[in-house]
Amino acid sequence: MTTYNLSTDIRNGNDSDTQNVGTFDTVSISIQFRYGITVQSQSNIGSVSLGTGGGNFDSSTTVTVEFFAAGAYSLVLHQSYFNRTYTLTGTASGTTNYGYGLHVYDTNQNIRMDMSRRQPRIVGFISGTGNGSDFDYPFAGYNGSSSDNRGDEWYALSLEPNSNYYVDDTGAFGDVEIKRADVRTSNASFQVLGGSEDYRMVIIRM
Amino acid sequence: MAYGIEVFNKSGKTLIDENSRQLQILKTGTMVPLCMGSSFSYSTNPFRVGGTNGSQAQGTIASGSSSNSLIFIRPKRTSGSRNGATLQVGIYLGKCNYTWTSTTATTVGQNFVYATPTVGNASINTFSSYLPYSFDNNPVNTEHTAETIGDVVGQYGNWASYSANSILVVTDIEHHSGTTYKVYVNGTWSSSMPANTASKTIEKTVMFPHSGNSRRFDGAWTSDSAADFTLEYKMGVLTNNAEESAGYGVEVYKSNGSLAFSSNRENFQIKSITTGSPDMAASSTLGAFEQPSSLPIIYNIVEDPANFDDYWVLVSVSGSTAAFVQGNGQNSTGTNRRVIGMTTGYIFVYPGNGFFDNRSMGYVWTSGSSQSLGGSSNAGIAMAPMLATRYDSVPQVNQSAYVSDTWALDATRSLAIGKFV
Repeated sequence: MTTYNLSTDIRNGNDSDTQNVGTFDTVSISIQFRYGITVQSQSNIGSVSLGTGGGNFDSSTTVTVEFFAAGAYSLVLHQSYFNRTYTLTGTASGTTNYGYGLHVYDTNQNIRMDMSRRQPRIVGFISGTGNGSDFDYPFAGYNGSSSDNRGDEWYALSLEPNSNYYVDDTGAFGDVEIKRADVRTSNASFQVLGGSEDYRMVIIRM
Repeated sequence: MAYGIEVFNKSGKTLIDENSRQLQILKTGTMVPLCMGSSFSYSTNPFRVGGTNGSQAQGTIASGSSSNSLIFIRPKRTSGSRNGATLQVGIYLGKCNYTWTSTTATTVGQNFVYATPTVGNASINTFSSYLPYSFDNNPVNTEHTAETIGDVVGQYGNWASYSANSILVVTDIEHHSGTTYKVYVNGTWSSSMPANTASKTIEKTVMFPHSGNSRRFDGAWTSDSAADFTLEYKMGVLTNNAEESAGYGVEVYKSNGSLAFSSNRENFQIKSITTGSPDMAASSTLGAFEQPSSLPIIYNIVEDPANFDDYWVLVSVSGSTAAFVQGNGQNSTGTNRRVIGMTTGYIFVYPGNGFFDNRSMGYVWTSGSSQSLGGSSNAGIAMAPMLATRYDSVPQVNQSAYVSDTWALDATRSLAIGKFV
């Protein structure tokens, strides 16, 4: 289980590398590019993670590549700006890497769950009518606990139309933090517009 | 954890657990997002399509109980090239009443009734009589076998008067004949309910999609543009029903017996959640909005642009998010005396454009530049402010003075995109 570290710069031209690997090895590519990159093509690749980054004239990210079966493999990353590519080729050896942990398929052989994808789960809803101020809505398990911080797994999305309330998650454990944002100015005491004091949010874990 | 299983990946993230619930898609379909604005003049309403009242935005009932229903949308290409397409969609949610009326007397011990549905006109709460909207109040694409699953048809009365259950809920609906349906409830009849008994009136949510650029949605927008896309929707609820009988795969249950995970369900595989502030903000000037160098936007450039048609958005913003009444002299840079209603909506950009085209979100503010996707081969989905309605007049409510009033939420929002797998 070796990690091979490669680096490339395709901001001003194409580039390529060849790296032979074991099927349980990882290749980590530090890449510089313009604005954004996408996977143009891949063959005999287990998974590709493009990391985070992009959006700027000079951008960079770390691409992580994992492999699948023995044999030749290829991966082409594409930069749209001036149509640049980075090509990684090589040969993988060893037993087939089916991934990690449990894989679940439906009767049509569509994969419903595997360990390389985070499975989103819809935990429930919260709803009600606010009292005109910010407040915290207790929700068991939200963001985990101080001993098991799961703040990056939990989300609350507002669903109520015209609502004056929205989620402002600062990572509190066991609470959905809700703020009220009724920004109003008027030149008269008679205000002709208003919002809803109702709120409804879906709680998602992924 | 006392029950079920909890699965972690090698990064330590949980994949399934016993406390979550399963999404059950009840209704799918397509609609053309049309005009929500009050004026059909293109100069004052860029969402103008066609030219008749038939171009008003239409609504469809959101299936399932309004308290736990979810709506997903995506453009669906019907013809032409998808290359370079930029599609803007906003959502308004309204209400309508829905009632079942039994057609025959029920039989004691059974758990169903034959009944016909009645759907009332839809309405939208704009929270202001001065913010004009125009829409078709007759819901379309109604699917009576789906709309009311999970809804209460009797609560200490109505149909519940004939059941041991004080709260009677619809569990399934089958078409029977003509306008008659076989409606299953969560209990048996303890006494025979006579024919022509109305259920408890159900308040349903109605979804009105409207477009910020109907050119690709409606061929009538201009004479040289064909309608290349419709808006596809999925509506679902969280249910506790296993319902599957495949005998294959994995199911995880909560300690109370409710379904937490099933590999036989179509799951919404969220690819990303992006959080930010995409609302139009208020200016310190009375009745005016902030005039930024670029309109606020949050977005995600998808990892799989070649299969951009597979991406869906979970609708997590709808209705009015800002409104501005700009009385005479109150806004030195805009048109005097106008009412502007803003929403926050979604922008779908197919490969070939390279920009989210959020610069002129309704021709209210056209300064700055559109957000780049970083290349014309990229594709992405954004959340950004959109003009919903505009009316070049201002109410006089205070001794002939024109009122300037601002209402803006400027909220933090999350854009959730994914694929159904």
